[in-house]
Amino acid sequence: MAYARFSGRLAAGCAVVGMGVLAACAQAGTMYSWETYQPQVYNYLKDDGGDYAEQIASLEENVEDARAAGQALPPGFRAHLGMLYLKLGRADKAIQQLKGEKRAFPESAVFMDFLLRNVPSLVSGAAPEAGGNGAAVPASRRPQAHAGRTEGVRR
Amino acid sequence: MKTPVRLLRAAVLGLAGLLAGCAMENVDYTAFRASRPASILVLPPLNSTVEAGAEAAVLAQATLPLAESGYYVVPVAVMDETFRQNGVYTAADAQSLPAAKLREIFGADAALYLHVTRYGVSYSILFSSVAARIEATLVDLRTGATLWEDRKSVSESNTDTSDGLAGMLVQAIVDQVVNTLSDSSYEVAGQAARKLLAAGRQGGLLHGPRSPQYELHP
Repeated sequence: MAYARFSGRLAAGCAVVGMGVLAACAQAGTMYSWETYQPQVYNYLKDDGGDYAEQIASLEENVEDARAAGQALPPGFRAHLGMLYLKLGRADKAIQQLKGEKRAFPESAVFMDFLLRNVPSLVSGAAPEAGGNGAAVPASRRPQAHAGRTEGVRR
Repeated sequence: MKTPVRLLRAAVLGLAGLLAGCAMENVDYTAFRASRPASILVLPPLNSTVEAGAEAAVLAQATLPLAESGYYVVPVAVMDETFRQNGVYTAADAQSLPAAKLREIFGADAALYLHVTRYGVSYSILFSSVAARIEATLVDLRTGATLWEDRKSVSESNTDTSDGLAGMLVQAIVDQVVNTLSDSSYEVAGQAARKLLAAGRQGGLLHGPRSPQYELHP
């Protein structure tokens, strides 16, 4: 009896150790919902902007899917969505997303505050054309030039 | 009576293999451990290939492996946009900005400097090959100290056997990708980014604070 109990406990112990080793190596699932964030970032980067409305629709779909699956959105997702809304002149939606990023990831606070400070000057500039690319972008890409001395990345 | 012994031996060997897979190479992590970075700014990658799309493909796919390894990753396209609005148009310009300035704007603990040295598809009569090679250096933006550096490549015609099973698996995925996707270069760049930036492998990045495996290996 004692032997049986011991060997049973030994087996259980081995199983726990084995699982620990496996858990340390294998990654069961992912921490975040990765459906569309990276592909849409790629679309944005490679096409000099691309179609903002289409990208927003794709990301919003991912938001719904993640909510339904109880999965977290990846870092940067909300801020990226916010930037796209800003491109379409939707300041309210943009601010909501930037604040959402900051709430979900406090590590983003410095950058999100920097962006939130710049939202007014970004929207007061010439309204970007919907789905604008190429020619429409430069006008909206530099509206904070006046703030360059205080907020600029360059020294 | 022979079978259980053989089984046991196989199990032990399997376990040893798993442990070996997890074990860290003799890379010096002293500075990395002291730094304890929680957030990473992935700067626009330098591109020394002839493919103009390499930069976007690598930058767009660096977030997943870093985030899944437990780090906050500064949104790359928003970063790119911020650089442009401030007159920083090239990766070389972005990568030469002072650490203090980057930390002031983006608030990240560390910056990842990437360099794409191979990217794209080449065709010949008998076969096509697709490859991506990325070099990475992680730098603490508070102290300027180099925390980690490494390089990885993925190639369809990979003959390097040192990668073992993992390499073969990547190989299989790559072959499949080449046959099924039009933008195979983009996919291979993603594979290379994952291979290079996912924490937990030999000589790889340490896990970040958001990972359940953070500081599991003291």
